[in-house]
Amino acid sequence: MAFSDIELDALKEIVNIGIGRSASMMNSIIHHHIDLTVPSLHPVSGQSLLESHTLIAGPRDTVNGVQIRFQGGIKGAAAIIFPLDSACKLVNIVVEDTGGEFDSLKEGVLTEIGNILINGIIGSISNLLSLQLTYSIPVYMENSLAELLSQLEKEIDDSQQFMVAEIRFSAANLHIEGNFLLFFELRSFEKLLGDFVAEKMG
Amino acid sequence: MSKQKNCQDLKEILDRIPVGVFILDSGYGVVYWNTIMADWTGIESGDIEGEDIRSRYPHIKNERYSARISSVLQGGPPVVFSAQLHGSLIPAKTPLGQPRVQHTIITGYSQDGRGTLAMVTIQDVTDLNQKISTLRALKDEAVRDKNLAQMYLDIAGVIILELDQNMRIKTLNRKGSEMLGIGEAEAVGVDWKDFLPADEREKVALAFQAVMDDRACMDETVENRVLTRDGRILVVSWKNAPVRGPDGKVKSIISSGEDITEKHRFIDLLVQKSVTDPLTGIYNRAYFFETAQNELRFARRTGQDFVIAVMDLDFFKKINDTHGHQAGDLVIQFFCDIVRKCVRDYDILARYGGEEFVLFFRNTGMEVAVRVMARVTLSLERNPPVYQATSIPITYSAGLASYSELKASCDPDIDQVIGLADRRLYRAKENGRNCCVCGD
Repeated sequence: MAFSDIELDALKEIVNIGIGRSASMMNSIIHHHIDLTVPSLHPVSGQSLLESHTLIAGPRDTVNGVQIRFQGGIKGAAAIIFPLDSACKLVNIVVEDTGGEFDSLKEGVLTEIGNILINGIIGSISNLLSLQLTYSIPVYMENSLAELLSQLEKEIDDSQQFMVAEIRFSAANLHIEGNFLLFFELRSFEKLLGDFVAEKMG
Repeated sequence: MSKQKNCQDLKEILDRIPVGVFILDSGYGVVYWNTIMADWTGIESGDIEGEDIRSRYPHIKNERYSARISSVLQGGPPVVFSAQLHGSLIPAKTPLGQPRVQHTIITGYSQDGRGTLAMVTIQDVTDLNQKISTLRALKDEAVRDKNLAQMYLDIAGVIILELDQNMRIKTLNRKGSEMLGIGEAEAVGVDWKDFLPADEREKVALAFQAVMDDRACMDETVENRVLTRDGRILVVSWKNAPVRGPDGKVKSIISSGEDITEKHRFIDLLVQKSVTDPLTGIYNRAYFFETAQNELRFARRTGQDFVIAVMDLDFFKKINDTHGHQAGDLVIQFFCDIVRKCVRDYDILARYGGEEFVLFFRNTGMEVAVRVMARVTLSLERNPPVYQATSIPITYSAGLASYSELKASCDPDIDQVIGLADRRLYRAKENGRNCCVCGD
């Protein structure tokens, strides 16, 4: 993997800033206080992604989430995914519902939550790395993890590089975990991150 | 010129699509307001274009909206406001006066010379929302009904069983589960014949088919034995009803089963009590008489012989007076035990009176009967009853009569046979007791 420790740390910091923004946005919308943390973030190369132990689901498990594609400074995609029961729990806390099916209204809520999270992180990345990105409309997804990943991979040429972060939500005694996935063209991202670090240090 | 034309084309397109669209500039000024927005809000585009949208809708100043809209205006990624969390960004009502529920997406786009604009696209999901609410209410009701039905099944004091067309269990209620010794869930799919003793299977299969083919009456009750998991046999009385599919054909059968095992046992017990003597457990007079009559008819038809012996314990009153009534009871029981040991299983011993007994020897001639009496006498001599360490020697007198000897002269009924034996008993007593008279 091409990232140095310093570069990784820098990226973690960027993501944490982003998550912080997401958390305050979420807390301004919903009544329950939600804590967001990113316990881990690390790069993974293509084939080993599915085996990564920080993924919250197995390849054949159904996951729900939101994805967005971007281009401009770099080309890539980002996604937030949850296993179905976590998605239900999260939405139920947010809308203060005790149950019922995960129907299309709840899908809408999950889309918004995913959107807030992704935007916080991507916004932070694009700000700090001084990127001008254009974006696709956020899309709700429900599929097996393996399907989802192969779909995302197809969007980007020369990818095979991913960042996987664990995101942990704590609210009302419930702990919900999801994954933030970032896909990008390796070379351009590497350069940008390298430049950022150099600037900070120099 | 071409830029203006592009704008015009864009506006024409946006006016024709069935979603609400409006565009804000970096100062929240309304650059464009489409026809649908006008329909929903009653505000014509001419009246709002050029104004700050927050003057019409001050809630947009709220951080939950403004922070996210501003991020788009600054070149950030698109933003979603979901229907359930926000209701609607721009409040609107349906023609019927219901508030609209809306799903909103805000994307940024750059126009040369104008910086980034925010395009707000609003999708009306009011109908969808209502359908979902109705659906949820229906589902909740269905769940309540189902729970109620389950409650009925659970508290029922009878077995409720549903069998599919192949006689496999579809449902079994709690009572059924307890009685058969199998879990409610475990029972599903099990062949009902597994719970039937082998000799009941055909009968039950026929009854089952009758209900499946619509040939049975709702009120018909079927009784059969049922085999529980731990090998007990129960007797159950079933009422059966067909369950039809939408095509009217019978899909499955629901049966309500009452456990009548105890009832049967009780009936058996009552019957037993009515034909037996309470002290000794041997048959009583009424039973003897009826059975003997039947046996006579049988013997008349088949040419078999039988013998009746009437026996009387000697000096029984003296035993009671000397040793007490308890001793007397013991003596009677002892006597019966001895006789039972000496006779065959198919001979009938009954208590005729206080110390009087009668024996019916089936399919037997006088010679054999006499030998049996001799055995009884010998046994009593050798092994008299003992009461409180005291030996009480007992003897009896008996009169015997055979069917064949009477048949020779007439067609006797049972009274005549018993009568002859009785007269001979009298002679035995006259002759000094402790003897059998079997001829004249």
